[in-house]
Amino acid sequence: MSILGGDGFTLPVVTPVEVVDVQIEFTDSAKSAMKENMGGDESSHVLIISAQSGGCSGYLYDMKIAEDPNDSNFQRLDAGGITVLVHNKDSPLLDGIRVDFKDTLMGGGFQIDNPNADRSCGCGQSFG
Amino acid sequence: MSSESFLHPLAEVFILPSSISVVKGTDVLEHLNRSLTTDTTQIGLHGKQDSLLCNANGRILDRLTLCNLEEQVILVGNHGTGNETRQQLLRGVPWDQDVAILDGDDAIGHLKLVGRAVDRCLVGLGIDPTDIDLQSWMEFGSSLISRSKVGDSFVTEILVPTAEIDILVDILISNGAKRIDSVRWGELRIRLGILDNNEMNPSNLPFELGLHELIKLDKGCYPGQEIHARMDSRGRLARTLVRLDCKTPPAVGKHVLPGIGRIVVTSNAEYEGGGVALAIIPNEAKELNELVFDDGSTAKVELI
Repeated sequence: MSILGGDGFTLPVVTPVEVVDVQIEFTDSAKSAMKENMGGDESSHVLIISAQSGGCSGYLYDMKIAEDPNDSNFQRLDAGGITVLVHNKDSPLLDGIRVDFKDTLMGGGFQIDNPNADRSCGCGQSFG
Repeated sequence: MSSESFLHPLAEVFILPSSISVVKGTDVLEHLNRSLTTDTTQIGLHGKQDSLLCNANGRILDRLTLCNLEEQVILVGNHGTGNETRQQLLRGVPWDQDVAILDGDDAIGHLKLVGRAVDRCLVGLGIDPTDIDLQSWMEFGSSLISRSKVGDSFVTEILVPTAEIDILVDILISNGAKRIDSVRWGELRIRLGILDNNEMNPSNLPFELGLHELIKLDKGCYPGQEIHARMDSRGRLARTLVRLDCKTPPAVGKHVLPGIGRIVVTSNAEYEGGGVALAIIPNEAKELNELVFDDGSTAKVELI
């Protein structure tokens, strides 16, 4: 028997999440940057916005262009013709965010303003 | 303290109440790396690493000792913190990563073995003590054995399936070890400078407790990193943890000392002929040889 082969382990721990209907505001500059990044794949690909642990403040934002996972655990939003997905487990963290895009050499790129955050990191990528 | 005359001539074994979690999945090390204060991405198979889980204010939520078993990592945490640690780690699992967390509090036990000749006791079990090191876990039957360095001393750590704890303790006893209770462990750990959740909790910052080695500021962001980086760059502390050696240990809790200010005694223990305590005191006060309490009692200050 190995150290992990004995009795007494629980089933995977779950954390309760109160799923909310996500609303996200996208500025015109964000929509236009998203469209440019999609490169014409809007019909088959989606933008997934998520939160994961890390960063100085506890959570990090993540934005990813991916093939549509067709998963009912995601909420679907439309942002100027681009499908944006938010996973239900992230919904309390991301509901109400405002996504902007700043076209500057220093500190530019997508910027997220999150009213749910008690604190955020100087780099703007982390919140808690 | 340096003579370590308080240590058993051979070994003393204590079943340390600890929180045990098992994090499973292909993305385990990457996930832990985003949350903990050390770089977990380079831990090899059977590798051991000590780390901290902190909150965004840089304060300690848990101290974790990791054991990497290939896509399964055992986390040995402070007693009583397991549920919160597991929830904290689970809340941040990304939707596209394979990470699951199991509660192993009832599945794995944690033994500590200390003394002046622990190796002689281990040899009796058929273990070559030179095979045990600080950076990895050695398999011994269904148990895992490693070592930690605390000050000038070494503590042998054993993780064992709960069902086999009594058998293993009996074998250790038959090879010269003595089983000790929480009172004796309390004294030993304070004398050796082994911290537990009395010290490592959200009231305190890692640097105040001398846990600099568990903070890797070059690994990238983790919760609390901004605070730790600021403290590191300022290079000075407001408070620091010391050991107090006295006739009668001061009570656990806050004390206001004339001319010094507030100190917090985190742990204490009495032994035949004296007492010891751990206390967080204003940093300037660590230069003093002695603290005088408001009841007139005194305590010698020892740096940990």
